[in-house]
Amino acid sequence: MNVAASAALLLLVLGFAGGAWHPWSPNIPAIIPAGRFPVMAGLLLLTVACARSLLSEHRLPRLKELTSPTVWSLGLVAFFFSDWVVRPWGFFPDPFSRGPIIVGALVCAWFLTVRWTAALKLWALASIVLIAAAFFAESQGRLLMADDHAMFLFRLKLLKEHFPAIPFWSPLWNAGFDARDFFATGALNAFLISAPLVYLFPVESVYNLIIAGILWGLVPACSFAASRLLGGKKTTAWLAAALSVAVSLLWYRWALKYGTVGFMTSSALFPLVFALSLRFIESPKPRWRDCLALVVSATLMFLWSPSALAVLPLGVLVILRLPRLILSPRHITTALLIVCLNLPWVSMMWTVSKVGNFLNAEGSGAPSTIQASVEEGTQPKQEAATGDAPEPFTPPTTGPSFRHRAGKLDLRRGMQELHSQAQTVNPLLALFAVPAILALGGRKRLAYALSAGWLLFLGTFGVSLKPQLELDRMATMAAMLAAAPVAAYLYNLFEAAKTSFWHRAAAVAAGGFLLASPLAASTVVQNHSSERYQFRGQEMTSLTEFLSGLSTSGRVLFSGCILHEIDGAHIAPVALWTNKQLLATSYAHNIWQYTQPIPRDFLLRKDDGIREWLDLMNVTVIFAHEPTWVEYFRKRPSEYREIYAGSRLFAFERVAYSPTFFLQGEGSDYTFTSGSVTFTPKTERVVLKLQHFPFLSSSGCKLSAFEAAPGVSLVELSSCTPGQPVTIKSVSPLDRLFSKGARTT
Amino acid sequence: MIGMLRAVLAFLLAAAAVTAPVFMLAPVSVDADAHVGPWTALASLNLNAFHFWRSDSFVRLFASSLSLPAAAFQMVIMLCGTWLAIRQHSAHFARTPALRWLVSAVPCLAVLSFVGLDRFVIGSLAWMPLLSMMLFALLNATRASYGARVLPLWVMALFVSVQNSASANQSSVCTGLGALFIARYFWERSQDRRALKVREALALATVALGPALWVAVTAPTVPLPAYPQDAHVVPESGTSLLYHALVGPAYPVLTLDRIAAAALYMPGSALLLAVSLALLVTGGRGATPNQKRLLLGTAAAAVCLVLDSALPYDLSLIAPLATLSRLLPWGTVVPLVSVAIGLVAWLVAVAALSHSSRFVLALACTASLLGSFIVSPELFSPSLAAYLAPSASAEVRRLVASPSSSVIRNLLRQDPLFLDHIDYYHHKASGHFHDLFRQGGSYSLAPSVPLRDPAQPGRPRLSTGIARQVGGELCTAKLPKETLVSGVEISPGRNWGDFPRSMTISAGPCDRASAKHVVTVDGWQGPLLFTSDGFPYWGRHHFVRVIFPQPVSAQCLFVEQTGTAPYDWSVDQVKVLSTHPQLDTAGSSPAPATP
Repeated sequence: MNVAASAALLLLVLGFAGGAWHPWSPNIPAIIPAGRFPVMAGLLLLTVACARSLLSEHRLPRLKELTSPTVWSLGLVAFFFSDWVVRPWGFFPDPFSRGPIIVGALVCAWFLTVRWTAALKLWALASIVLIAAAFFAESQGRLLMADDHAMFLFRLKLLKEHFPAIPFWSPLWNAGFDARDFFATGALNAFLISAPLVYLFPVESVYNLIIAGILWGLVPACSFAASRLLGGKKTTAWLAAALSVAVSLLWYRWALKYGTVGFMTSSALFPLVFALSLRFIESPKPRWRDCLALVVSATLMFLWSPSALAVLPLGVLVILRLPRLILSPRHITTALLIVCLNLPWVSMMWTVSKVGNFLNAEGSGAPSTIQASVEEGTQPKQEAATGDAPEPFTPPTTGPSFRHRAGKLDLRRGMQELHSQAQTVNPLLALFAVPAILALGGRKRLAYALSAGWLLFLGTFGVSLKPQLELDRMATMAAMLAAAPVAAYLYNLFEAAKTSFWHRAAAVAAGGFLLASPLAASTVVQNHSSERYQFRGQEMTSLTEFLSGLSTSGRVLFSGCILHEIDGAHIAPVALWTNKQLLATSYAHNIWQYTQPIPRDFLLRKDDGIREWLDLMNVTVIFAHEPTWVEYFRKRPSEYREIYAGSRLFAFERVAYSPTFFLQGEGSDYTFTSGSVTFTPKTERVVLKLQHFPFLSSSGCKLSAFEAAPGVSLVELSSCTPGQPVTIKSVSPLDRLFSKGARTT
Repeated sequence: MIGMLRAVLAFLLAAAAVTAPVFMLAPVSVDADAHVGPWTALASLNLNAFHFWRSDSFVRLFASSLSLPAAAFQMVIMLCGTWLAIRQHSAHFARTPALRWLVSAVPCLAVLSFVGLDRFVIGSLAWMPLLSMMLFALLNATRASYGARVLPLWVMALFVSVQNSASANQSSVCTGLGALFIARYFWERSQDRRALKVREALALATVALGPALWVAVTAPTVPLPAYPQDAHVVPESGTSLLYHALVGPAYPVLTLDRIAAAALYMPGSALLLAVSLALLVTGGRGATPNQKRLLLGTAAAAVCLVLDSALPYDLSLIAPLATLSRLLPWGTVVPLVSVAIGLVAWLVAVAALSHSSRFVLALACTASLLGSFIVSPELFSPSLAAYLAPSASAEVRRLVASPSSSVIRNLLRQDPLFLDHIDYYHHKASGHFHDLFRQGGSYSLAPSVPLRDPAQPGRPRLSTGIARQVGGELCTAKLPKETLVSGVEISPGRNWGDFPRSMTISAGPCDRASAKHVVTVDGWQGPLLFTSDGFPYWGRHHFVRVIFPQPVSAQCLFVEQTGTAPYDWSVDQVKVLSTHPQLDTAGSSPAPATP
């Protein structure tokens, strides 16, 4: 091993990832004021190491020689004594995390004196069980509802009813919406994996189990399999599995707090798909079993479409092997199978979801509504959503509408993103990923290096280039990918422990971090970290109970901008739980700034406009959570009567309004399901208070659009037979795909 | 025959010796009101631990039939286990059962000597020596490849393990692990036998830990008083995060008083370390490998104890013992540190009894037994025990035997009549404090720099401005006229770390020399607040509000900061609790229900 070259590389990694270094705590003055100093020292040392190698051995140091475990373990020691451990939003959740690392090191030292392979396997299994148990203990039987988990629950319930006939139209929200985001959000992969549970049990009763199954079943299983595919021993595979459940704080943010289940499932599958792809590309005649596994796992992974970006670097390997691959029937068949399985849904998504517009939307300032709103272009966008609602009649403004700001390739911002990503990642992965990948041989090294580098680039510098894609998640995928090589590196480190004192010391240092990692993950899962997630609480239960018991023949509106004000969750599933048609700015999280549900033109006309829009939407009950709107309704007792008061939500019933779903003409027996509306017309022509979509169809009537007001297009039915029931629903997905007029909203 | 009689007599003598303290010493843990089945809430008067507790069925059977305390029987069981351990480990007493019974009392008494009459520790350690011996026998049998042929031994070991788990309850995982460790590393003599197979090791671990894990999972959680989210009932630094359990159940508020535990156990830990080091230094020559391991292990454990009690608060929380408390189920609820010090005392005594030099043996045993004379007197007569006399009111007993006992103990240092005047404090804590500036009063801080632009109108915002508190900083609040004042609030504003660490408050005329001492707050923990059912607790540190032991008539209040901290002391607003009619009319602010 070339100690100097290893040290140089370590300094570069520490400099790029760590920024300024304070000893022990941020309160103590920095000993390294900025990351550029270790970077410069690293470059200097690298030059010296190269020169020495050239002089003495007449060659540059080999990549494998840069992986001295003793040197790289010193990085962990430096990490332990630096403020990195206690930085806010770090992987280790509190300043006392050094304790478990010390105890972990002691236990590891003991492991090395006994049969450490068996001990580590048992420890890995126990760690996974511990974290899963911590989740169920924390849930106390409550439904996981944080942020998008509510949305995924909603989607799973809809998919249970409608799959495979997706996309479809649903009248549950906003007087009808295009239920098509199963493709863009990746909900299909989680649905397909959990289909047995979803179809056998009520979704609510198994939702926590599905999430736990993905997080602590699928994730470690895929990393285990990936490690085995890379040629790792069982202990290595168990180590990879244990590392995969303790990847980073951000992983649990996305998984538990934000509830991005599609991303979660794809990330879980990613190491397996990567390892299978490597074997597939490298093997002259891959086994059919591996080909089938690749087809299935890659298809499931691609169902969260941004994951396709993650495997792009494998294209380099494919190009290198192309002449041989195109002559192999197995390779061709497998590739065709993947294409055939994915082409239908990709073309559907491309057609119905305006993907091209979305991908180029970072400059327009208004792309977030692409997914949901039928009122695109008419929805008022008001001042930034800071939590304080503006006055009800404040004229809207437009502005950037993503979680991240759009911008150009910015080195400074990219480095900041790199620092914050490195801070949240398990230090074992952050520090050992480089030597672990370098220690791999041949094409594996190239593939892992290219992919990890590409993902890291996307996760740091790419964030501002395409903010709508939230590419910071790619850095988490890089960490997930690194679990298998790091596990292999750790295994070799433990195996070398008996050879010398320094190797043993390095193994003990790494072991301390390894054994403490699941405890840090368990702390996050126990809601003791800076990332807190929520379960269904009293407010949501109370809202659901109230709405279930409410007898009304109109719609229920959530005034103002409601995102996750109710127990931190989106309100999408409330419509299904209460069997009511609801209205809100958005039932999902596809807006990043304050947006009113009532269109701008109506708002500007104040009371009259609001009243007219409420009539147009057949609103009978209004929920308000913002003080301005609560005050607005309370100040008009002749129009609105308060009928519910929760801790944040207040409900008002419209007093002087006779509810009807028919704007023009007459009808009766109006009923709805999650995918259709049925009623009996009394007149030949009827205008329904339902938003018009070009892909709607009706049984027995001619369906067209009726411009009720600027930007409000309703469903007009003509040539109906009075007294004969009519059903309105979406055309079939295939019709929608091939019929030019009925594709998008 | 005579030998047997002598042995019986010696056993009776030893049993009397180990049970006598149970009747003589004041308990450091008392029963509280809550019950669930056989579980009764146990409140530690010294460490503020509050959890459910029960005795094992075996001991309960004897205790109820003879109407004697369960702890007495548990001490006898500990004695029996110790007798077996010394038989195995000590060459001096291997062949003299009668003498062995007598010396077996020494480790048991050493436990009491270092932790006092703590039912939690006695229950935890009662079965552990016996369990370690059973596991040792099983290890030997398994290594000698006849493990499968000694089924009765497995059954007996399982019985002892079940009793251990039922006696040690929430700490049974700790004692089960301890027994396994002691059996494997301290009792086992020969290492040349074959290594255990994985399934054999798992079987042994299951016997030792299976029942313990079951109890750890099924033990009920005692309901705490309705403390709000930001409450705390044990002293802490106020600027760092609370440490929390990494595994297993935990309360929403931390109840274990680590600072009190450190003060209480520091002298004992130091003595144990000294004795164990002396034994290690003198006992290396001629000792068997397992005796050496016992000496080394005991010294290492004593080092851990000292680290836990001697290090500064924040550092002690990353020491091994505190970390193990976070890693073991219930570790942040029950005082495992007490079990650890009891266990180390027992091990040190056992190690001393197997020492090759009789002189060192006698000296170490004496030191172990005389530990009680150098450790804190609180171990043998907790100060709060005086309030649990039969004459005490039921309300005081309820408060003392609660998780608020640490708050009460600390407040008693501030005002020895705190419990007598608790209704007064309760009333004042919910009183209205008046903004001094709006009432025409003024305040100053010396030394200070203004944080707000002096040209801007409004009350001054001051800070010591040297990024630390060194003691001697003085805040003077001047009221418009002489007023009866019952409390003062000094808000540091948005700099939450800038609260005074300790204070001495005096009041009177505006000449400081003439002002009278009102109260000394040593180690500010936050304002005294009360739950809806009357249990006192502390609010957050930056909410600096002091209730005076009694109202004082004063025009000036002198608040001197007497602590040290790496933070400024900032004064953003001063309020007083007064009965002056002018101050009652305007500018008052109600005390928030929670800080």
